[in-house]
Amino acid sequence: MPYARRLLPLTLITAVIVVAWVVVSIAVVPTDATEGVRQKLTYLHPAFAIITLVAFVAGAFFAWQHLKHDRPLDDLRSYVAIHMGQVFCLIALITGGIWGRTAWGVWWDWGEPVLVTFLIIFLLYATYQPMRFAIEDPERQARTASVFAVSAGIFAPVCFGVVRMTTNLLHPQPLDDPGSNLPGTAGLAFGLSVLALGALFVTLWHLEVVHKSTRIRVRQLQRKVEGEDAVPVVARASSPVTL
Amino acid sequence: MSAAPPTPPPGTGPAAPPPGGAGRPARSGAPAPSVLLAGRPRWTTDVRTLLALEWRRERRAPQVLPTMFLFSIGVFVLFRFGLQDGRVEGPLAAGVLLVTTLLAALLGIGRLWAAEEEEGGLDAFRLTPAPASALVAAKALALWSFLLVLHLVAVPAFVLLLLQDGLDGAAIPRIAGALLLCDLGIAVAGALVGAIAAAARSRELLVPLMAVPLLIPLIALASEALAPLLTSPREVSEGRWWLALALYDGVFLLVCWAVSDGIVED
Repeated sequence: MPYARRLLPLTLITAVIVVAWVVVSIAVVPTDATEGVRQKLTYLHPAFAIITLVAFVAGAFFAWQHLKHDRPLDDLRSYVAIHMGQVFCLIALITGGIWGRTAWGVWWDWGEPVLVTFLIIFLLYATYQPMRFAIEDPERQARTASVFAVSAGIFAPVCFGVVRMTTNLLHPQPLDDPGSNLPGTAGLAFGLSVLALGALFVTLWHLEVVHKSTRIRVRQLQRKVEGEDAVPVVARASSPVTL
Repeated sequence: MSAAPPTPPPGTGPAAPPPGGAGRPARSGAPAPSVLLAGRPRWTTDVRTLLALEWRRERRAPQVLPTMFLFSIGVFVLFRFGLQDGRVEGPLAAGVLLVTTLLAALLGIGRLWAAEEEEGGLDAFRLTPAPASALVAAKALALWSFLLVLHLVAVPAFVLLLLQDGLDGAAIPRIAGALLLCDLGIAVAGALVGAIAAAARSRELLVPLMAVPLLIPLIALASEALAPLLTSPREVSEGRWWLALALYDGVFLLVCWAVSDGIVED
């Protein structure tokens, strides 16, 4: 709820950036002569992948804050960051598959370490909710989830580092390879895509934190007014319950 | 929407003690019959005592080691048939050995925190002034020692059943070194995963789900380090894989130490 006041200006700023990103990517940047429309995915897929990792690291940061200060709100922030990261991760995998199909002729290449690493990280985070909601005691649930989030948040960059080290890459490295640097307006569109999806992530994260914290408060008030049995325990299966 | 500061739920303090710190405050004024309760023993003494407890438990009612032994031998025999009496070397040999180790370790990880959860060991530990990091370290060391003992049996069995031209004697110290580092990584990450899963209802299902993705980079690195040593004639294992293995172990040791209070706190 402390975030509710920031939601409107944040939404407006995000909307402006997203519109600028869409306009620049579609109308301003010329279509690539060799890659065609496929190249437009450069302004979508990498940004989703980058924001996914940022979300997981942010989840680890808030989880660490929760372990350190024992503030239930930090657990909610971590939960929401990871939840949003999972959605972004899934979109990055799908858009990556579409790009792979058009560029390499296959939806998925098991020999490509960046794809496989991303899948490993997705699978690891896919266990977050089953693990979390298999623990009944809400406080223990929050603490154990934070331990997981910190471990996984550190693991994600380490995993990427190791896989890049052990295998030759097929996946393009537009930010690392001097030969494939994006020129002029294409570079602008790429930067805008990261900025727009970053802003979108922050806005959605705020929205969900406000929504969940409000719902938790309403349930607490409902219990006070109508008694402990007024709100069913099944509510615990959808989000953290302590705040 | 109005903003109100969050109210902590009853029973939660404003701040948790520092992770892996010098020691949690004693939660009880109970008398001190053991080394864990007597005065304020050093961290290493706590770890030694807890590690001895793990081994005593395993000696009294052997569960983890026999299961891991039998499972590993069974998997080697399975590979023998699966590969149609074929023998392996190089990357394939390293993969078979390491994946078998990982799967056997999952059995150990699943039981690592069972006594603490099922028999109230964690509650008993919370009554002592010993730091949480000592318990997590003891668990990791226990699993590490179990895996090392497992390899004393499993590696000869692997050589006998599956390895193409046997082991080059000069390569044995390096193979032992690579397995030592690999086992340490499995043990540290396993102690963490076991602790997370132990709190859950479906711990047997969660352990492999969480441990396998976490350990894929470790297996990839160990495979790169081991494969040249299991090739005939033996090739040179590059130093960077060893360094990366040690780094992976170091990162997870730090993570384990940092979150240990979160695992043990009530």
